[in-house]
Amino acid sequence: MKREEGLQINKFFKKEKVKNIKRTWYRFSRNRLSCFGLAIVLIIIFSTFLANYITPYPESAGRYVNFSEAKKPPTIKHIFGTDMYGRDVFTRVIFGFRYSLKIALSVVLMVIPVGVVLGLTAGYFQGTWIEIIIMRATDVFLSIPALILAMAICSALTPSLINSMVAISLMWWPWYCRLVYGSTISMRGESFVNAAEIIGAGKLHILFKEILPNCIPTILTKATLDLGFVILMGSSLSFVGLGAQPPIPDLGTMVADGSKYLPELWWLAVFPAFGIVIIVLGFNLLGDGIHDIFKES
Amino acid sequence: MQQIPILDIRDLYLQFKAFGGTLKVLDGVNLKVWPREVIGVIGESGCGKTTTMKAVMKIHSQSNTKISKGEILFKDKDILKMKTEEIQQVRRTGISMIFQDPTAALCPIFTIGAHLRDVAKYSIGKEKFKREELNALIIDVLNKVMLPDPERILQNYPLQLSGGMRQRVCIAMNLINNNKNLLIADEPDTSLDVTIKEQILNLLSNLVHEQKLSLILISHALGSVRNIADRTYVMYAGSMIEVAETGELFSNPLHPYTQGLIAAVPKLIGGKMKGIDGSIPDYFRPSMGCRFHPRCKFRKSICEKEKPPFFVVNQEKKHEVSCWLFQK
Amino acid sequence: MLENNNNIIMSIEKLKKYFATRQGLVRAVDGVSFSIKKGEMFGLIGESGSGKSTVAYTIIGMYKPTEGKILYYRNQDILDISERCTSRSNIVKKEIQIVFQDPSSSLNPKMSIKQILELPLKTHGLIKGSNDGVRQVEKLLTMVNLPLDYMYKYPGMIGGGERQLVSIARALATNPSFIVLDEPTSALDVSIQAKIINTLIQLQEKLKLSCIFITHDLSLMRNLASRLAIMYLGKICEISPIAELYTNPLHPYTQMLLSSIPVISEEEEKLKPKKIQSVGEIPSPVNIPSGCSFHSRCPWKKKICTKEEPKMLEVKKGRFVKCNLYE
Repeated sequence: MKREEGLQINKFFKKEKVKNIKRTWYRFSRNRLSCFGLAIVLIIIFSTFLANYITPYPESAGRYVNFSEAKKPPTIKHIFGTDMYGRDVFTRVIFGFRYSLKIALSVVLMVIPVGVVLGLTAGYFQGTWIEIIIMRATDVFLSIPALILAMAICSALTPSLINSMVAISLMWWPWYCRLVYGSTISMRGESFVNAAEIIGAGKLHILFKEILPNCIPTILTKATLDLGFVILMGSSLSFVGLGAQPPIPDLGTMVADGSKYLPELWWLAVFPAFGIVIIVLGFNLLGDGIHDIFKES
Repeated sequence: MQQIPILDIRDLYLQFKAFGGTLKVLDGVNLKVWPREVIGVIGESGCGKTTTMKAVMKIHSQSNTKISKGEILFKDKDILKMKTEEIQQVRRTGISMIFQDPTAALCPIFTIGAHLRDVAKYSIGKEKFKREELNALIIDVLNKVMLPDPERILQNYPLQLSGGMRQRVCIAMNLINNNKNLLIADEPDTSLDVTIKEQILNLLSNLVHEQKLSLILISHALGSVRNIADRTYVMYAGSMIEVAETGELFSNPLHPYTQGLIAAVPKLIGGKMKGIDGSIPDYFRPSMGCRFHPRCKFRKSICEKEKPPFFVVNQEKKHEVSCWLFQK
Repeated sequence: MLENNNNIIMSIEKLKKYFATRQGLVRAVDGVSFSIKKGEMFGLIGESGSGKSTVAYTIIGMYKPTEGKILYYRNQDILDISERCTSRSNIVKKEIQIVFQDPSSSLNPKMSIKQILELPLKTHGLIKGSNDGVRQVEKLLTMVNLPLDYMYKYPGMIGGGERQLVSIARALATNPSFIVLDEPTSALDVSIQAKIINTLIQLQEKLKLSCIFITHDLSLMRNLASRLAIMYLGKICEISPIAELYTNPLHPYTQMLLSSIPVISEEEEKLKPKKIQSVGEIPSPVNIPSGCSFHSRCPWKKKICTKEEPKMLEVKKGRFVKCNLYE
C-alpha cells in the first residue's frame, strides 16, 4: 500500500512539474516581442554551432587572402560583400557571433557566483564590518567609468580576447553584488526567513536555501540583459583595438577596420554593426520575456 | 413618479483570460440600489464583490476581461455601452469608490492638500476656483469627516497619518463634489482597529444620510454591515444568493451558505464555531447549476443541473433567496 | 504572579523592549508581567501599537529584551531564555515554536510543502532513514487534516487557510510544548477561520500544548482562551479569567473594546457593556501620554491619572487591573 501511494505521489510530482513548465511558457509567450527575441537568440546560437557547415566560405574566418575577390560589393555570390583581403563578410559576421557569445557567456558565468555570494553575505551581515568592507569595495569599482577601467586593464596587460574578458568581469561583478544585497536586505524581514531562524536552521541554509532561490528571478533577468550589454562592451573594446586581435573575426574589430573605408566600401562596417545590433536586441527582448515570467499576474 | 434605482446590475457575466483557460468569475450578478439606500454586500474572498464594483466603475484592464452578458444601469443608462467621456462624467459626478487599503489609495509623495485639490479640480469641473475658496471648501470637507486640526493635515503626507485618518481622507475626497449619487465602499474598515472601525462606519452612515447619497458597503465581516445597512446581499462564487432587510437576514437566514456563514462567526455568548465543508469552486471549471451545491447538505438533483432564480420568500421584508429549496 | 509554581510553563517578568528610531524612542513593550499555565490557552488582546506582537516576538526570540526576563519552566528546571533565538539552546528551540500571522509570507514560496515541513525535522536530526522524512511529513499533514498530495505543491498553489494549516504543522513538527500564535486567522475569511480554530483546539487538547494566542478579536477569544490579558500602548491593563472579563470588565479600555465589538444578533448586543464612544486616535508609541497612558481617551479620568502611573492590583483572586479607579 505504501509503495503504491509513493508511486502515485511521484506521478503527481511529475504532473505538477509539467504544468509549471507550461505555465512558464504561457507567461513568456504573451509578449510577442519576447518570442521574437527568443527566436533571434536561438537562430544565432544555432548558426554559431554550425558555422563551419552553413557558411559559404568558412576559410574567410581565418587567415585567407584572395585579392581577385577583394572589395566586392554585396552580390548573390557574397551577400554581404567582401573585405579588402577578399574574405567573405557574411561568413566573418557569423563567426564573429561565436566570439561575441563566448565573451558574453564567460563574463556572465564568472561574475554571477562572485557577485551573488558577496551580495548575500553583505546583506545577511548588515551592520557589521563584513558588510562595510564588501559594499565599500563595490562602491569603489562602481565609481570608475566602466569603459575606462576596462581599457586601462586591457592596455596594462597584452590586448587579447581573454584579457578583455577579465577586464569586463572585473567591472561587472559589483552590479550583481548590489542587486543581491538589496534583495537580501528586503527578504531578511520576511516571516519565512524568521521562521527558519527560529526553527534553528544554520546561516548557510538561510542564505542559500531560503533567500537565494527568491533572488533568482532578478538575477536571471539581469543576466539575460547583461549578455547583450557585455557583447556591446566587448565590441567597444575591440573597436579601440584592445580586444580580440586580427585575424579573429570579432564584430567590433570589423566595424573599426571597416569604418576607415566609409562611405565607398560601406558594407565593410555596416553589416558587422548590424550584427551587433541584432544580437544585443535579441538578448534585450529575451530579458524582457524572462522578466515577464516571474512577474506575478 | 415611479422611482428608478440608482444602480441596477442585471444578470452580469464576466470572465478573465488566464493560464489554464477562462476564469468565469461573475455568473449572473443581480443588484439594485434605490436612492438614499444603504446596501450591504457580504461575501468571502474570491466571491467577486470587488470585481463587480470594478466593473461598475469600468476600471478593469480591457485586455483580458470580457463581459459576455448583462447590463449595468446607472439611472437607466447602461454603463457598459458608454463611451469614455460619458463614463468620465459618471465617475466625476455620479459614482465614486473608497478602496480597502487607505495606504495604497493615497500617493505617498503628495501632501493631503495636493490630493484634495486635485480631486476638486477634476470632479467639480473646469470652473476656476480662487485659492481661498478652494481652501475653504477643502477644510469644510475635512471637518465633515471629523479630522482634527485640518490646516495641519493639509500639509502632512499620507505616511504621517494613522490608518483611520487616511481612511477619513479617502472619504473626504469622495465628498468634495456635492452632486454625487452613489458611494461604493469596498471593505473600508478591514484594515483598521476595532475602535476605529466603529468610528469610520458611523461616519459613513451619518454622511450618507446628510448628503442624501446611496451607499454600497462591501465587507467580509458580517458585524460591519449589520448596524448601518438597510438591505444586505450575500454573494457567493460570482452571484448573489440571498437578499433581505438586514435585520431579517441576520435573524432568519435561509440559504444554506448564509446559515453556514452565521454559524462560523465567533459569538460573544460563546459556543462552538462551525466551518463550512469544502472550498470555493474552481473558477476554470465551475460546477453546473448552483455553484454552492458541492458543499451543500441539502442538495437535490435539480441543484446540479440548473441555477436557481430568485424566489420571493417575504415580500414585506424584501427577502429573496436563490435556492431550489424555496421553490414554490 | 501565580502562587502554585508547579503549574506554570512560562513567566514573563517586567519585560521591556524599546526601539530607537529616527522619530524617537519607541517603547513598544514597557513593563509587562504575566504567567502562562501548563496546557492553557492564554489570550493577549490589543489593538495596533499595543505591543502584543512585540511580546510574541520577544518570547520566541526574534528580539532580545531591553530589560526584564522570560523564564521557561522545563520539567524541574527554570531556564532563562531572555535572549535571541540564535543564542538559545537546541532543546529550547525545539520546544518553543511560532505560527505567524501572514500565510503568504510565512512560507517560502520557492520551497515545496515537503521541504518546508522537513526543515525542522532535518535541523534537529529527527529523521532516521531515507523514507522516514516522507513518513513524518505525511503524519504532520494528517494531523492538520490536509490531503497527502499537498506534499509536492508550492505555497502559491494553495489557499490562505491551507497555508496556515501548513504553518501549524511546521510548528508541531518538533513536538513542542509551547506555541506562540500571532494572529493566525486575522487574514482569513470567517468560514476558514472557524475550521482553523477548531483544528487548533483539537490539537491543543490532544497534544496538551500550552499556547499564547495574540489577536485583536475579542469575540474569537470568547470561545478559545481560558485567561486573557489586555494590552494598551505597551502595558497590560487587565488580566482575568475569561468569563469574568466579558461579564464584568473592570478597566475602562476593556469596556471600550467590548462595547465596540461588531456583533450580529440582539442577544449578543445585550451582553455588551454600556456604549462608550471611543474618542480620538490611538496615540503614537513615540509620544506616550504621561501618567496612565489611557487617560487621553478615558471617560472617567481623574486628576491623578495624568500624573501618576497606576499600579497593577489584584482586585480578586486571579483578576488584576492597572487603573486608578480601583486604588
